[in-house]
Amino acid sequence: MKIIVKRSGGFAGPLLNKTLEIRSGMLSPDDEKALHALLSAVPFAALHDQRFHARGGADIMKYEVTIDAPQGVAAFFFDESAVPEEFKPVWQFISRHFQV
Amino acid sequence: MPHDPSRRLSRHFFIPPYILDALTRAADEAIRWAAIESVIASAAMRARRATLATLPIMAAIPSVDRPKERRIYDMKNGTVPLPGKLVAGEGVKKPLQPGAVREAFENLGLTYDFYKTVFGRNSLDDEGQTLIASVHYGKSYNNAFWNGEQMVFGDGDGEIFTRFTRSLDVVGHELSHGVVSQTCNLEYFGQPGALNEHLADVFGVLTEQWSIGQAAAEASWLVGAEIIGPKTKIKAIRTFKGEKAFENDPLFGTDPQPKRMKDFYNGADDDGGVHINSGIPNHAFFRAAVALGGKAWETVGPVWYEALAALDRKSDFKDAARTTGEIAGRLYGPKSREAAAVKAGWKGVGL
Ligand SMILES: [Zn+2]
Repeated sequence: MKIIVKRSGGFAGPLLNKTLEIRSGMLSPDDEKALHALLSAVPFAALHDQRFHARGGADIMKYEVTIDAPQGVAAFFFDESAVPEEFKPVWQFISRHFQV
Repeated sequence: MPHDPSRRLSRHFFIPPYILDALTRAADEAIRWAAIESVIASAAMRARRATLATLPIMAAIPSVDRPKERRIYDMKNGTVPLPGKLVAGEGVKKPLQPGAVREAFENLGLTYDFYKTVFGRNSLDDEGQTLIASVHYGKSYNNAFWNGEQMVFGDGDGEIFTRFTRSLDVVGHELSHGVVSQTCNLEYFGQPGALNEHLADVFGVLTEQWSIGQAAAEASWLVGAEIIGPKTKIKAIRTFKGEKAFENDPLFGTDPQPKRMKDFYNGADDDGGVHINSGIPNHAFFRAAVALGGKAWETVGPVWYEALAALDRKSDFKDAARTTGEIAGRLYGPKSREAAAVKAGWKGVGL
């Protein structure tokens, strides 16, 4: 399993660009099991290559997420305030365990 | 536990919209506040259901002739759901403790006062729209943003950045995105997006300069200097001046903002460089302001303020240069030193 999260945008612009890579073994076995369970509910094909933008905002952080997992493969983009509903449980998990 | 009428009005009763509307103008402060809260909450629900696909919700709130209205909410380090718990507003009598809530309340007030006093503008929509801000957003969150409905401020990680509410030009910047959204509503990509950022920076720094009566020649022209944390040596996030805000910094490298069209950033990063290429119009503004001397909000400020209404969603840098040149000519005379300074400012950056 590999999840890459690329952050851009925000008030400071490119100053805070950051890439986070989550690989198998980085989490405790229990947490990794929980993440896999959450990934099982993600509709990979529906998310792949999609962009989810908030309308009317400015200085909002943007994320490009690439997932390569046994459950599926997908790359998609979203604004911080427009996290796709189907991805929210995984995003909340990632946000709890890593600084994104 | 203190009496909180907003809970009663907004959560436990269904109140017909026409009654709620009337209550927003009630003489009783607590009732008025609670009613406004209910309108905001229901409008926010509608807006969320529409996935922010409609106009900013606050435009729907009855607000004609309304005085300054601020609402500060506490996200208690969470990120959802916005706006969080109401902690300060015009109706609160108790003194606010030092910190993000007070900073947001005071700096939103100063920005409102700046627009009202200098340009006669009553809030974001010029109709007294309530200013909504959420503080303590996220954990160690290094950002502030305008989400199309309200302002959101992080506390920073305390290392690279401190509380974003500390900086009047940052608060003024975010609030000005709301003004832009109610005027030219520049799309947030490429040159129109960089102009959106530019206008937010311009009115952010002008708010700060106005608040301390600072002339153009004395001003720092820095953006975000007050939020820089102890673990970095950069002096600010951006500067309007011709120099770099930082160079060869171990953490941030070199300030990416160009100051001339020849150095224009053509990449896709940062929504097509909205926070990068804004350095070009920012520097044009700086050149005009410093060439004219005096107080920038009295000289070039009115020109840029009128440009808010004259530009449109797709305006680019050339449009901005032409438009501000025309406005300066109309306000001060075609052969005035103001019109000449504005044109020279743009010419100095290659436009
Ligand atoms: Zn901005």
